[in-house]
Amino acid sequence: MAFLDNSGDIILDAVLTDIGRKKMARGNFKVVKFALGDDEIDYGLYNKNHPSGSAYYDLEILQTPILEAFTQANASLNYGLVTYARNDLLYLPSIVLNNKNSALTNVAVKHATNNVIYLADDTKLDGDSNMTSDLLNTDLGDKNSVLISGRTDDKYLLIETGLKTTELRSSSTNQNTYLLSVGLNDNKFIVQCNKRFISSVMGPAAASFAMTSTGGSLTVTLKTKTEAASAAGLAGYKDIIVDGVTSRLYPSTTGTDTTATYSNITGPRGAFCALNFNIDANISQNDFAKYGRTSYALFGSSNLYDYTDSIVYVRGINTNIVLQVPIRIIQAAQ
Amino acid sequence: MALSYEPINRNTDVTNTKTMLHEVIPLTGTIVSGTYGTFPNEDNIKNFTHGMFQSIYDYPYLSSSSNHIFDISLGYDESSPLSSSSATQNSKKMAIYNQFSQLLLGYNQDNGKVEVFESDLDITDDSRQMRECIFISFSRLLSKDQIKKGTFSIQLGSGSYTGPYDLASTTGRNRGGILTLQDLSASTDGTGIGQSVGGEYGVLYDATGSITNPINSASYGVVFYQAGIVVLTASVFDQMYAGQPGEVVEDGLEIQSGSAYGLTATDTSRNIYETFVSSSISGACDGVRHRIYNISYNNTTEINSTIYFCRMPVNKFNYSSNPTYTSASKMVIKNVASDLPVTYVTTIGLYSANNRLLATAKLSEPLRKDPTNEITLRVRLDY
Repeated sequence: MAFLDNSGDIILDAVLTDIGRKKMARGNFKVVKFALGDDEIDYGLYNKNHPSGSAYYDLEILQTPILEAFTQANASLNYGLVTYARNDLLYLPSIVLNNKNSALTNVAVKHATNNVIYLADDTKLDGDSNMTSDLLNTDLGDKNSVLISGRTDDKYLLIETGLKTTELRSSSTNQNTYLLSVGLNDNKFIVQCNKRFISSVMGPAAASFAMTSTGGSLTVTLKTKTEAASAAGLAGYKDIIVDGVTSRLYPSTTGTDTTATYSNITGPRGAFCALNFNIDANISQNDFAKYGRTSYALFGSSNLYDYTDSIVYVRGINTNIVLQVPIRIIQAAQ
Repeated sequence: MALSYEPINRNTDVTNTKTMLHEVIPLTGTIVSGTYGTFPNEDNIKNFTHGMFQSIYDYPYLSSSSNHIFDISLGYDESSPLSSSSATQNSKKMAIYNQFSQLLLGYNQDNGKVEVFESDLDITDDSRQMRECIFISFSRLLSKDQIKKGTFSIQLGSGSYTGPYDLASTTGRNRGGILTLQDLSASTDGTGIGQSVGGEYGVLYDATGSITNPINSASYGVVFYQAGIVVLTASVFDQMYAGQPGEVVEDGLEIQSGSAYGLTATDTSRNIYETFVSSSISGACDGVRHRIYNISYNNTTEINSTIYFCRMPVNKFNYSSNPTYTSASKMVIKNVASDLPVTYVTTIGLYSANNRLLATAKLSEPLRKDPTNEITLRVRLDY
């Protein structure tokens, strides 16, 4: 796509997306809402210290050339404008995947080399009756990045929200000032996952994340969540709502702040949630062959796997912030 | 994607419009004959083995960049005095006439035969009948939804064969100069046009005008606007105003002349009558092309639009999920919390109820949005 001519009046270049054209052909094209995007904008060009004054702060941003519209849905609005009730916010929360498994032993982390979380189907055994997670343990050297499908007593993903800043202490006062009192805490998360591979999501039934006299304490009880009533905005995905729990991981008022040992959020912390997944029992070998690989020596050993990759999206229901988690659904080769 | 959605009220934020878009289509005679090779075998003229019509392209037709612009064919009704089993391609000429007549005029309920073309607005009165016709059918690429009424013009050379557009060649059977036919009485308001099974049509009058032939007195064809087809009577190539329009006479203009048409020393040229009888359709089309000086009309594209008014209230869309919007969770566009949040809109997404992106619109430059202004963007989708 070329750049739009920005030498004169502001013009709008509009196109139907592939889905829009399909719906038009089927006769069910109906627009009911709109959203706004700013994908091309680099806010780093906003010079709030421009010597010529505030009229020049956004001069470079306003000169940003804009490309013509794409017809692919996923290339048009990657980042959107969001609405928060208050205009006096200075900090916006982030959402991160906790990787402090050295202190929190039940937390699964992305594999350092492969950059994925393995979701193992332990109901599938290899020719020697080894479970998939045991084969992964052999090949990876540990199970730090391995979730076992359907297990409530094993590892889970820990997702945190909060301010990734060192300007503010992660105290309960700051948590209340910068997150809770301004509506930037998520008491629910929407988990979007590919319904072809993942049948259900397990979220926290009860959980706490707090600082005790002996250090950080994370307790989680998982239970399977039902599908949300609303359909997903992503083709082939479904929405599942899980609970978010407000973090109580505060530094002690005296002494050294050791909370960073347990959390990837350095400033005030908002909510967290824990996740595991149930792999769909109906995934066929054809599905693995079509969307991934089968009987593949993934780690160069004699162990063979069937696997496919998928992305799970986790979105805070109040803040609208989104985390993408790369999941590798894997089983011993059948 | 982190997005906030704003509803579009179908009663107050959506409107439908219909717009007629017109383009001027000028077709010069040089494209029709002589530009891309030696007449009559130019590279932009396509003849077919069936020999029932000839196609004209704007560039050598073997090139992928060529566009088909129109076809020429001709034929006569079975009641024409030219119809004879000894006439060249007699059955095909009648088949062509019948095809166009069936398509554009339909059948006569009384006699079960196709109607005969007439150069007036009443095809039932059997006056000004055109039983020998030249058909020019324009491609959809040019005429789009329809030809704009009152804009069609075709100019034909009426001089000698060697100087068809030369006024000085007013000798013998030749009129000399250029004959201009226009749909003078037709109007976009619906007046001056007829209705038939082939859609609306207007009459092509001789717009050249003279004392002996005032404008609007002589009609030589019709133009079917929606079909994009022009039907000319063969008598347009008669001697100057001889006989009645629509009635071809034997002493008309030279349509074919010389060896290019395979004519012999004893039969050096053919007038329009002889051409219709003795020439193949393709050969006759060559002769007609030779006399086309100019064709001009406005086409019409009917654009149905839905306009969505996307209203951004003052306190909506005041923050961004763009990764550059924050640095270490702190907004880069603010010094202190009391500074107004600013965002820059570049894209509008229109969504269905289940959050499926149906259409996107891009602004040509970023639009500043802050809590002091309310913006309404007008997104028009054309179908």
